[in-house]
Amino acid sequence: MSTLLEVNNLTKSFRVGHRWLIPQYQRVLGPVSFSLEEQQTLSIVGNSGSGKTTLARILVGAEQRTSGKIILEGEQLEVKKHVQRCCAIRMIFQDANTSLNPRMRIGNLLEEPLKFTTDMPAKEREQEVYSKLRQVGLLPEHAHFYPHMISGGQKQRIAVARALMLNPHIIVADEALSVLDMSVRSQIINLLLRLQKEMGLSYIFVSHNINIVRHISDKVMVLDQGKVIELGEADQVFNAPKHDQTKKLLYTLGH
Amino acid sequence: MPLLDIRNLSIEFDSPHGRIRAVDRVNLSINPGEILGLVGESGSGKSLVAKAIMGILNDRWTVSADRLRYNGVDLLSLSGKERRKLMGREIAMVFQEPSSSLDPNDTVGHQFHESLPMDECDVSFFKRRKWRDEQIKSLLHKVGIRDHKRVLKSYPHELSEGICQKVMIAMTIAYKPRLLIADEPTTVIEAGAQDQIFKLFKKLNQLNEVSILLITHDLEHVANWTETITVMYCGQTVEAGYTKDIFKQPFHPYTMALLQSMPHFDELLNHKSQLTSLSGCVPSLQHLPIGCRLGPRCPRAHRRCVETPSMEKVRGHYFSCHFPLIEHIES
Amino acid sequence: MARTNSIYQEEVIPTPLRHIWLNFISYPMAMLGLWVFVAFLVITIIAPFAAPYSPELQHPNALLYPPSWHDDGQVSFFLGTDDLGRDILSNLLHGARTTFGSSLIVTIFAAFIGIFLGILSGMSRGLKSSILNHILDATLAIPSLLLAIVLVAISGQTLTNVMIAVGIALVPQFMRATHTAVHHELTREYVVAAKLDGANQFQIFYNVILPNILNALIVQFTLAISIAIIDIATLGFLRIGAPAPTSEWGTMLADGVDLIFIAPWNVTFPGMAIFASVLAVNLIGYGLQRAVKEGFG
Repeated sequence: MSTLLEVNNLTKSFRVGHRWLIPQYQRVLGPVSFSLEEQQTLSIVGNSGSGKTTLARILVGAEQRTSGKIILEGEQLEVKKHVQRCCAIRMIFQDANTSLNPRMRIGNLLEEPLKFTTDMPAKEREQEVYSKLRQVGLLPEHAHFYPHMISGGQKQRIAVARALMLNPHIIVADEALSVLDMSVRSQIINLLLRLQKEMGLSYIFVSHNINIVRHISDKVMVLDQGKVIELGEADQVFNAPKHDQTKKLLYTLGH
Repeated sequence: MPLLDIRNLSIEFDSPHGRIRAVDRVNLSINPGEILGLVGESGSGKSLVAKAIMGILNDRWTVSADRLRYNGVDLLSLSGKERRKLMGREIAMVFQEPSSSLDPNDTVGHQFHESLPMDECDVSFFKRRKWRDEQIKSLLHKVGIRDHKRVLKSYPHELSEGICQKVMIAMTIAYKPRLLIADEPTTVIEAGAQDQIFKLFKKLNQLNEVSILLITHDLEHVANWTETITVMYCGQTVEAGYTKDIFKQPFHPYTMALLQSMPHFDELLNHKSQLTSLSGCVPSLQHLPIGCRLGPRCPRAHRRCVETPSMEKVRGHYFSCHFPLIEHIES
Repeated sequence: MARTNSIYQEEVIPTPLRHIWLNFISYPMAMLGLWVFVAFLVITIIAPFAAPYSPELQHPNALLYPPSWHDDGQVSFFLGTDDLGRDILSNLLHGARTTFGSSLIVTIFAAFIGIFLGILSGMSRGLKSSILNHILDATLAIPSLLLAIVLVAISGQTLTNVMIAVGIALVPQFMRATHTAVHHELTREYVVAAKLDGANQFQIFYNVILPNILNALIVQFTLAISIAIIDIATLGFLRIGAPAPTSEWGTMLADGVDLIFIAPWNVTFPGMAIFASVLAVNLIGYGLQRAVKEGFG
């Protein structure tokens, strides 16, 4: 069980305005440090505005960090190296409706990562797309559909398939389950758990649904106003939280 | 006598593929002072039912029912004008995205002024404005907004969804309705404020005798806040009854599957094991199955399920299934 | 259209463009506009062969003949003649080349330049984007008439100068529309997703943004054609357009204004031609907007 991902003192500040022509910054994500092993699931919980979406986006490369180090598989991650990053850590977006290009067929959508980062010939790309579609429980015929023709649950499966495309080691799911209905949600959870066993993936889950988090995660990190108030094994955080703030948060979220 | 009595409500529309029955003979009844939860996934037609009660479906949809009565008045036989008088006064509706239900170009205070009913205003012309301000302040305090001055001065996009939803509820209770239909009121609201909205519904129900029809797709919401539930799947009612009874012993396989998709429901579930779930997905409107619409996905389906099962009743617990999850029926 | 590997094919899934075309065909007014547009296009191409006389040819003994369905009219001068004996029908047909044809050419060129510049400014960010934004706003204020007068005064009155002036005045509109559309697209989630897939700027633009802004561009193109027609005709009417021997609808209007009570057909026919062409283009634009709004669901 080697350490896949190590984050040291990650911070993020946004510019909130000027004062006498000097830009003022506000820190939205305080120093965050954690590590993630293989086949492990880390969940990030917190109220809205606690910075968990920002953290997820920084890890995956959609936003730049202000300071701190991210070490992925032994190599330090630079900010702009998308090509290097996307083979190792990929993201499932929250809303499948807005994150799928409405003008492209699903097959073209899924082969984009292959087209941009590898030199596979067209036939191999097609085979890869079909195999990933089968893995998430859809048919190869779905590759010819447009996103508006399939249901919400199937769109989320496409989002999972896209995240699986370059065979990454870590998948970040930013509230990917909160917009789904209950039966579809349990299907996607089963899918993710199965893939974790089959492919040895690690997950970073951002969610506010305590029950789901409790079922699927090994480690839990609790954020409040951008600061880490608790980080530890799932059982320990839920049954014996150390801080009062954690207790209050768990109560608000319905535990 | 039930406040809202719906029997065999069907909503159909014409498509290039033929006449599609989106809602198939749904039964619903709410007693005065009751909170009913209408549970169903997206595509189950629950929003259609709410809109049919309010009469705001457009002309493409045909609504037919054996009984669609509010307080004894048949809603389908009312003219447009009479229907409009009923809506907003006796029946009020709260929608899913509160910040888009408000006009983005206008402050909340201005919109509230516009929509306040002036029927009960018995002051002279010059004192009207003050009377309106007092009413609005008291309504906002009733829904739990303390800093009403800030809220009234803001535009909708400056307020959080939770506060916008409370403002919408305040606008509806200004008319003192007897039935409040809430269509997925807390889906877009953050978790902390969801509880507040539900507590508000409970308070309205207990203090002002407002019956509430709570439409949601999340069973966890209805578990704590409703007295009776009706479960819908794909336009058909599958189960109805008291919340406690249904959670203790669901009769329909679909309700069972819904309950099992909540991980903490089954305390014996191992960490990181597969949840029990129904395979397949909700059929699209073009490919609706005949008979019981859960048929293709149901683990207990047999040949008989191509006939639509009729509603049966056991001790106040209604279900429509040929092979329910009970060992024996005491008739 | 997509074909699957299976032998039996149940449904053929049309592309979004084809969907928009199918929507467009179902609007009768838009199809009427399309037919009229095509008719004008055909006229523009075959005008030299179809006109009965040369437009400058003057018939001294056939001055101010009314149209042929009038008692005094003659079939050989189908739509009548003007005060110099020139056949109106031939002038109309040749004028279509000038007004309609050159407005099309002008719009195409302006579209290319405007869209290219709009894409460059739309994909930029930060200070560069802010500066370009302000420059764009300033260029939108250029009036084509004033620009044409200035250009004509400086470099002489030729058709080319008129076309250049109208073209320059159209470019800012394309730039603005493209810039807004591209900027709006860049805020979408699927652009972020494509970036995370490892696409560089050009790939993002070509694969992700371009298909989504095509609708806005097509609609803007049709609007620009109608603006160009009116601009060129206006310049002709003010007699700073194409010089004398070239026939042009606006110039015909200006010549006929003095005769409006004696020989109204001098004004009616060029006026109707301008009206019909602008209406046709606007109907097409309206149909396209509706077709795009209905979507491809």
